[in-house]
This record gives sequence, C-alpha cells and structure tokens, in this order.
Amino acid sequence: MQTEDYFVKTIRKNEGIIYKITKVYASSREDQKDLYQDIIFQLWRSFDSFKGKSKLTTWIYRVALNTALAHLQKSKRSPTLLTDEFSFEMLMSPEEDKNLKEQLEIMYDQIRNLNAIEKGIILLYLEGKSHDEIAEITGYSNTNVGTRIGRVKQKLKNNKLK
Amino acid sequence: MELEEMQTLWTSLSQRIEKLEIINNQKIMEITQIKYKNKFNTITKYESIGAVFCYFIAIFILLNFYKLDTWYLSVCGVISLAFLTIMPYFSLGYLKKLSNIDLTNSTYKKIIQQYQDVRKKTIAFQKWAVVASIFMMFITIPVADKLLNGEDFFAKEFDTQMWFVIGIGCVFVVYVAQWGLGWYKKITNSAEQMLYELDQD
Repeated sequence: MQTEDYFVKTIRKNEGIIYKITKVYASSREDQKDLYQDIIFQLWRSFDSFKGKSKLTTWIYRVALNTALAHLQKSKRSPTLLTDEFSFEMLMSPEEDKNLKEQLEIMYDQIRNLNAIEKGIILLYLEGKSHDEIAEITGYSNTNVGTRIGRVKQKLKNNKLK
Repeated sequence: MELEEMQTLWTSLSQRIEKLEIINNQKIMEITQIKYKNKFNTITKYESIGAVFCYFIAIFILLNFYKLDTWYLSVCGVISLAFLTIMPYFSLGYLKKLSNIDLTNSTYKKIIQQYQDVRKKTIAFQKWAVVASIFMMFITIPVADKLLNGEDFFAKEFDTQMWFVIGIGCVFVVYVAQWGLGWYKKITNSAEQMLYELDQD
C-alpha cells in the first residue's frame, strides 16, 4: 500500500511532464490518452526497480520518452480508462486567451514535425534541462546534444523564413 | 516559430499545467491494474498458430520420412523440414525482440538503435520469406505427393490437369505470402516512417 501511495504521489507531482510528452508524441486526443496510460503503466511496472541511481524526474523523463518512442510503432490502441475531459486545453477556462491556444498548437505541430531524436532532445531543452541532463536522459553525448539543438534552431529559423 | 519563442510559450504552458489536476488518484490506480495488452499480441497470435501448424507438418514429415525412398525426395524432405522449423523460429524471434525492448532501463538512443536493428532484419527476412515460400512450394509438392498419395512426382507424366494444379498452387502461395507480408508491414509501418526520419538525420 505504501508503494502504491508513493507511486500515486509521484505521478500526481509529475503529471504535467507526462502530459506535455504525450501532447508532442501523439497525433490525436485518443492517441494522447492511450500514450498517457501507457506511460503510467510503464512507470508503475518498473517503479520497484528504480534504485535512485539517478534523480526521480530523470528516470520519469527517460521512461516516458522511451514509451513515447515505442508508441510511434504502435498501430493498435488499448482501451482507454481516461475520460473525455482529458485535455489541458479543455481544462483551460473559456476566457483563457484564444491566441495562446493557437500558439500552442503551432508549437506542438512544429515539434511533431521534427525527427524522433530531435523531438526528444528539444522537449527536454524546452523543459529547461541542461545539456548534461539531456545527455543523461537520452544517452547522447553532451556535444551531440548541443549540435542537435543548434540544428533544430536553424531548422526552425529556416521554416519561419519560408 | 523560433526556439526562443517556443521556450517562452513552453514555460507559460508548464506554469498553467502545474495548477491543474490532469488525472486523479483513482484513475492512476486503475491504470496500474490493467492487464497490459502488448501491441504485438495480435500478430504474435497469428504467427504462433502458423508456427504450430508448421511444426505439426514437420512432425508428420519426420514420422514418415522413411517413405521418401529416393535421394531426391529425401533432399526435398530435409529442405522442407528445415524450412518448416527455421521460418517460425525467426518470425517469432523478431516479434519477441520487438516486444521485449526494455523501455524502463534503456536510454532513448539505445531504443532507437534497437528498433533500427530489428526493423532492418525484419525487412530482410520479409523479402527472403516471400521468395523462399514460392521456392518451397516446389519442394513440398513432391514430398506431399509421396507421403499422401504414395507417388513419385518426378517420375510422373505431366498432363494439363497437373499444370493447372501447379498454377493454382503458385497463385495461392503468392497470395498467402503477400498476406503475411501485409501483416508485417502493418505492424512496422509507423516504425518505417520514424526510421526514415532518422535516416534523414
């Protein structure tokens, strides 16, 4: 029971991270719910084996990104337990800036158009992770992370000019 | 949108999300109780049925191998046995490799490499399997003819009916091979897109 309680608390504390990852990797609302569920399940499955060698959030990012990557291979969805209300945009109050919603969609689209490696790295960069942390989570070298971020910057700049 | 603009927007998004409850405690616990259905379950089920069928035929050939009384029929029998045992082993093996990729203890980089590796091998296997199944039809016909009808296929005189049966058999094998290929493509199609993106990198 203690483990379960701790797990629930951990998920609740980091639900935003999982939400943002699903938003970037999933193509539709249903897909997003399915991925969210998958990530929680994978985290639960390995929760006991987490030995604290890395920070808890580092481990969460790693499992969540790996699950999202595996999700790209998936053609069949699992039955979802999440409700239709599952959407940050729907949770936003009606008076929330419409412009913000549009800006967010443009941003998600641009990230979704990046390749799988860039997508993972940029997501972590936007989360405010340092090159060292990104390298630790993804397994790419520090230099490689820097190079890829630079490349994405250029790509986005070129897209804007088009 | 440039990266700096994205960063500002992302920060604003994160601040808003932090204040909201996206999922409640009860839902989290419900998800942990799901009997997880692996995405490769369906294809593995069909492959397993196919494997049982192959092994069943292999056992039948093995038990009746003494009836293959000429050197060429024995050679056909050995090739058939090898094919029937090796094919399911590889096809189930690749599926197992895909479904066993450890998402919790690997890095993003390693997972991408593993998918790339399995995908390359699967494509090579698919191509080989289509050609091999057509070749195998010509190998198994003499074996089946001998074991089921007691006749030596190579000593037979070929009449129109025989050519007709062979023709139908060819169409059937090509159809079944294409169907199998379709299944593999279905489960690896999205992977193909992802790996294409990686190749562009």
